[in-house]
Amino acid sequence: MQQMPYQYFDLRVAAEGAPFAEGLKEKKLLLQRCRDCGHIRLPHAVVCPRCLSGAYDWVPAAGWGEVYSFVVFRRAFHPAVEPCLPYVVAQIQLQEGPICIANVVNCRPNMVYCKQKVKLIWEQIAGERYMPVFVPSE
Amino acid sequence: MSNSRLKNRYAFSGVGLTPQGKVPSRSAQSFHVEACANALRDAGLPAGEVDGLILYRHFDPVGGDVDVSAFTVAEQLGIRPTALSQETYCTRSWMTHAIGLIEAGFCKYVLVSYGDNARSGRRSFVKELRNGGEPSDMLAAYGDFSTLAKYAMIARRAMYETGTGSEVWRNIAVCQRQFANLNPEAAMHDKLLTPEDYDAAPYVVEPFRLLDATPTTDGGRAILVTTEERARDLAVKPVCVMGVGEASQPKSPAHMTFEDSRYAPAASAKAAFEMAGITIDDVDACEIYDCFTYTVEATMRDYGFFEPGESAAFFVPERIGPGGSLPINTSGGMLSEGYFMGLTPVVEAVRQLRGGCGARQLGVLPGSKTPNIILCSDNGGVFQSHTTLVLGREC
Repeated sequence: MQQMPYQYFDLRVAAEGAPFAEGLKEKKLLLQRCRDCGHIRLPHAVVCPRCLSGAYDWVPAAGWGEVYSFVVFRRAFHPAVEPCLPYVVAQIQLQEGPICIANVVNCRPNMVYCKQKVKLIWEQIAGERYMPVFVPSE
Repeated sequence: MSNSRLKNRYAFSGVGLTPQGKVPSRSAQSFHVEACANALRDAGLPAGEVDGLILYRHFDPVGGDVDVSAFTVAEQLGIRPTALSQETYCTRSWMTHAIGLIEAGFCKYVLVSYGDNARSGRRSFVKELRNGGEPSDMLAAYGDFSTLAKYAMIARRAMYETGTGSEVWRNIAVCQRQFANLNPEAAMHDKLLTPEDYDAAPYVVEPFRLLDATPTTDGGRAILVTTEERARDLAVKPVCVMGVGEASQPKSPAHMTFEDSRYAPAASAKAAFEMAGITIDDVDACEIYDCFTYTVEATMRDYGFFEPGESAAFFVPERIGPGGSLPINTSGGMLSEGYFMGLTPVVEAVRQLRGGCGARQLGVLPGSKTPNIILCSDNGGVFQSHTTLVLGREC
């Protein structure tokens, strides 16, 4: 199995993203949806950047998207991730609209491309932690 | 909104340089202080007249160095300014702040300064790179370290959107190095760079190679901002601020689109050109913020010099290099002269408009002409903050 940085470092979220972190335990990728205008937003925030409403729900992402952009790390910027090289960090545009950062795995780095269709899978890490990652869906 | 009433009302006067490149056994603040003293000497202005001091960008000290602040720099210059400030994150507001302070009557002479011992102190800009330990980066779980990777992400999407890539960035790196080879003060003055050298450089974060990124430098820069009227009474010929524009779009790199990345440079340039009352056809040379090669391409594209998809035809040596029709980054830029952030481009523009740049002086360099108008950019964050300056030889 390919070694990845998330095997070494915890996923960190700002305090307003606490429900997102809880969702990860149940393998749910939760998104904030404005209760007033319906806008689905990232990053996590206490108000909607479209209408400034403070009312929102956490809704699970369907898990489909496409690669908006991506880079291939050829150098370890932390000694611990040396065994992970090369690895792919991508911007994934979710079907629901927002763009998030995620790793694309189970795919050679030179086979990743912009607009590539991807789907969400969950990698189990030691201690019942789950990490959302994306794999090619076609 | 056009600020045309401010056209030619402000000027850059003295500029201050220090030894640059690898200059060991110096604190970062010593470079600020030396650069400021040299700028004041250049302008012929007594230090006590400085009533505004803006330190450009605070970084954490490296190698056990003391922390730099506007207090410590003012202390060592022996001055008591009305207004002190220091940017602690990566905005690019120093010029609008300087003009604002003077226009409102709070200040008469604002000194802007940058200094770092980044090269000798081995500043990595990624804390984790050298220290290991628990990463401070919120994106560490994704392995998404470094500002370089954030720019590379946008550059990759630009490759998809516009067909750009390393054949464009290679020309930017090579042409700027050719200017550095003409500039004895440049860190890379003695180092030739061929297209083959560029291609042989290893990828750091694909699509960026090592030579797409600016290296760190020791040294400092400072520049004096005042009214054109006051500048006329100083020791050096004023360089006129014909236009200034600033814009920001605060989307974080994680969520930013290619179109988001284009907003700040385009909006900032529009404001600067409107204030100056010129078009891109009036520009004789450009000094463009070049943290990465792609930043130069993106800035020129979003300023309107070419359409997306035309960058390969635009960035050719006959245009951008020594002797070219629209020279870009005539000191070598941050990539090959020295990394003084936004003060690298603006100080070179001022020096070129004053004249006396030696072999690289436009108008002296074969195939070049004496510049009347030079366009400068300053870019902060990851395409999040931007300032454009249109500078004129005559007011």
